[in-house]
Amino acid sequence: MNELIRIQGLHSRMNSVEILKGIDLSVNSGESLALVGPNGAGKTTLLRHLNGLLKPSAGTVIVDGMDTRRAGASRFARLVGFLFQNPDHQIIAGSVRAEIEFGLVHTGIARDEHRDRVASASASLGLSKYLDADPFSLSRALRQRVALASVLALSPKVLVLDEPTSSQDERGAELIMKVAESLNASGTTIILVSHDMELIARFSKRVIVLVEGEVEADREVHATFRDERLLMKAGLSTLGAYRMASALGIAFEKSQPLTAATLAGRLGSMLAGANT
Amino acid sequence: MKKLRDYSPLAKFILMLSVIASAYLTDSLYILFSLIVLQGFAASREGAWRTYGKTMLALTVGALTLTLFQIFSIDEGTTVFTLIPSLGIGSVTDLGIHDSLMMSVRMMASVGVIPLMVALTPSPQIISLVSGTFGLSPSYTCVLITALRFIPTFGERMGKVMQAEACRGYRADTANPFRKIGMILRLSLPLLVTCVRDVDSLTLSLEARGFDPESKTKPERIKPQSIEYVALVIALLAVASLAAGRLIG
Amino acid sequence: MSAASPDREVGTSGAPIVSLENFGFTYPNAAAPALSRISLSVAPGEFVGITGEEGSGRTTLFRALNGSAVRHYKGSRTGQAIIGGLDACTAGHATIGAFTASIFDDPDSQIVSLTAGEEVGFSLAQRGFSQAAIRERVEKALAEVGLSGFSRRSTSSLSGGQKQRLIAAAALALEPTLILLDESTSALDPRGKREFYDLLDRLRRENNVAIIAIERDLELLMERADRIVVLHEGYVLLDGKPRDMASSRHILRTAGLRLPAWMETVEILKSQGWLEGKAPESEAEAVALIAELLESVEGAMAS
Repeated sequence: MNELIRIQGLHSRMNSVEILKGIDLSVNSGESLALVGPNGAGKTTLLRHLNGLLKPSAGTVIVDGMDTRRAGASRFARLVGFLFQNPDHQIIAGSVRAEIEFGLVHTGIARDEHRDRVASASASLGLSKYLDADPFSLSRALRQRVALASVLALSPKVLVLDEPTSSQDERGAELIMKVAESLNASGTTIILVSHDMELIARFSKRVIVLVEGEVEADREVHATFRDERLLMKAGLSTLGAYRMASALGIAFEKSQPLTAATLAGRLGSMLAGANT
Repeated sequence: MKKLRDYSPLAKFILMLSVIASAYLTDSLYILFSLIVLQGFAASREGAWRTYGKTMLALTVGALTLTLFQIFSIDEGTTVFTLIPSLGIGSVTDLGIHDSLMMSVRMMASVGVIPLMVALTPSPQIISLVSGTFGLSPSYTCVLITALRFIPTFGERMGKVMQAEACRGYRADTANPFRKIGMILRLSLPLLVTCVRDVDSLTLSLEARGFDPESKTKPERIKPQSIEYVALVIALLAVASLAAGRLIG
Repeated sequence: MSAASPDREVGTSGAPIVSLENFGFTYPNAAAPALSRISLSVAPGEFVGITGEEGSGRTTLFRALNGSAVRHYKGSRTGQAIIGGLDACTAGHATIGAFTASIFDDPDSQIVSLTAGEEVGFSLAQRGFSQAAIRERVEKALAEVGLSGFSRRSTSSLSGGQKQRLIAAAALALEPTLILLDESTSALDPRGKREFYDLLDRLRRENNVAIIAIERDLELLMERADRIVVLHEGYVLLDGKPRDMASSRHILRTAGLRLPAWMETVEILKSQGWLEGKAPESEAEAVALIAELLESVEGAMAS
């Protein structure tokens, strides 16, 4: 695995306030990581440095060999796919189809590829029957998926998702994360910002905890959720399965996912084993 | 004494028009300056000094620029001094100084009163006044005014949209001003559409909080009192005398 | 303008503040009703959580409760919807708004003013409060949501989380007797969410304010609400206390909701034959029962 993103000594200022105070981060190609932390910690700011939307006031951000200081955001469009928190800031076309095609047109992807890309992006997010609809006639949840579809159509190497499931119900959230998961399986690097800890515990492999502009922790996902002190310090919620395991004094392997299913499985075998 | 902001919107509108009319009916720098002083006085009494101060600062810059342009183009009168005597360029006459100064102060006096009055009038009152006076449906006026109010947000939103589109490859980061303008225009229409869509939920929010455009066009609780009539009479008399002065003199 | 005066006394007699009977609603040009035969009653000071997946009718119910469904969205209704003694459908949202605060999820489509102070004071200015009273209430409301000193700040300079708190403050300024929330904490982090709901709890205790909150987070509702109403395809699937949720896992699944981890764990163990006859109604109870089970099994092993 090679290094795809390298951030060194990143400082970021906005309106004379320093938001990021020296971030060092290295992301390999194909990783699936989550960025968490309280509001105001600088998560969105950090994301915006990944495609050159924001330039460092100090330090460097190198994505796939390109220094973000040297190029504008549009140059990174095919490399870094960015899903914004508010889909309404992105949607601009009169039909879902045109919306998904927007990026294809502007990044100069060959015309004959458009139809297939639009079809597959919309199908994967359950939007096939809405292709001719006006995005603004759809619910907020569907609009969020439309925005995501238009980013996916570009087949970027890195997919940056800023609260992608915030407007979704359980089914929609599952759909989106399954898509992200399968993209990750075929090599796309995923960077996720979310407040939904359950989601992160299920889909991400690495968690970076950002507090007040600094990296508080950078660990494997399960190690993160086991550390109650860290979660409290970062103002994050603890997870049910972890709480229960801890209360019951059950230990798990460091990298074993802790979900209701795995916990119940372990309990089941403990109980069954004890009976023989 | 009753505050200006509590006057009925029609009275405020007439007062505003009187100030603007006076500014154009007089040729006296003294009167123009006193109009500005009057506005400043009103602004500080009403707690709108910050807004007024900012407006006047911006207008002063505009006025100075205007003065500079005008001052060199008026040749009548006695030359007071010349910029480059050897070349005979840039002569400034006493009449030139007076006239260009007057134009600028007139501009400041007439334009400055508008944001002052707007700051002192809550938008529902403006809506009621406009829809009542022009016979427009209150909802339509509400949409219009709300959309206008959102120009600062419109600009901010425009910025966010351009960022989002840049991330999808749209080359918004071009130094070419023509391309930039073209880009802004292209993005403006859908942006305006979303703003108008927003206006629907904004209207809902306004109405839920007590603003009902479908009701009477006069805002409640603003019954004109005698002081307003006095102020109106004084203003109208002043305008009339200025007009008369012009006609006679 | 509005029939209700600022100091209207609603719900003090103990009568329900919200009473829906067989209420149904269809949007204009819609093929099917968005809500069917909804019956719901909310007492003053009660916290009712409403949940369900997209399309279940949550937002429509919200609109029915705040009076905008018929008058603003122009849909047709069946049955009754009485809010604070008024027929919500004929009274309209301006009248209902005198004692009901509606907080939507998207602050940008709700904020009408240029400064935070103006935003909070808007409803007060509309209802004829004096400048002094407005100033006082604005400061108080901003302090309650943790935005003290923000009165002069321009609304466009606020972050998403701050905006959500601002519209909450604007809603509180009028001292409503009923607060309606539609996913209003989506932009807040867990700490912010906690503080927000703590504030709501305080209002209930101190002023007997009734709260109806639409939330996707079932666990949150189980923690905070007095009652939970689960909607599915326009119908009420379940209306019960948080403790009742545990025995309705099937229904919750049908409604497309995410079950808390402890419920899932108990469900799996039950399917394997453990915990028969036991019905834990909270995480703590579940942990206690499982611990007991482990001990008894180990005990049996030892003997």
